[in-house]
Amino acid sequence: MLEARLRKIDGIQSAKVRGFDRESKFYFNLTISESKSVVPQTIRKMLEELKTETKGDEDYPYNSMELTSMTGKVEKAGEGWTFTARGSNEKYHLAPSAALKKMVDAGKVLATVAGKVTDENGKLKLEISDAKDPAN
Amino acid sequence: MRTLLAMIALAGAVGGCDAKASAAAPPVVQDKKVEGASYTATVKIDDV
Repeated sequence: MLEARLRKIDGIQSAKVRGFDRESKFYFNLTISESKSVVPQTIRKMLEELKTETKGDEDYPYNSMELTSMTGKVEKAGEGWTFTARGSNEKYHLAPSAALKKMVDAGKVLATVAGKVTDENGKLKLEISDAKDPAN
Repeated sequence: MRTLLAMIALAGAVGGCDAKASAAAPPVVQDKKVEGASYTATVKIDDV
């Protein structure tokens, strides 16, 4: 059910369940078109619609989202860092890792990153856990 | 009679092979058509 609903989201090319753990969480691997932006609010909206349509029978609260590989442009302006996704141009406030800081210091602008995405108070934030040169 | 039995046995063996080949075929995944570059993510959804 959730897999099928995730696949219906605009931009999601594939959604495959990765597993289910003892803490009662479903894990899904998503492949998303670069031209589309899928953020935590996109997933929450889908879950809210599912709950409404099923009159509360299918009630699955959103837990979290992590990017595992996304390429984009990294910019540093003063103390602030931003990441602009290639294709969709979605902007994220960045919490850079040491590896990403090193890449930017070396003059690199494009990076393929991984990290947790949050949107507290409507502010889209990406906490980098891994950064490397883009493969393409 | 012996030839007839041999033919029946051969047909059964061929049929068995076909059945095995069909069972081993990978399932067709009905995902959306993949166009252009993509990125990957993982989402966690709670079950209450």
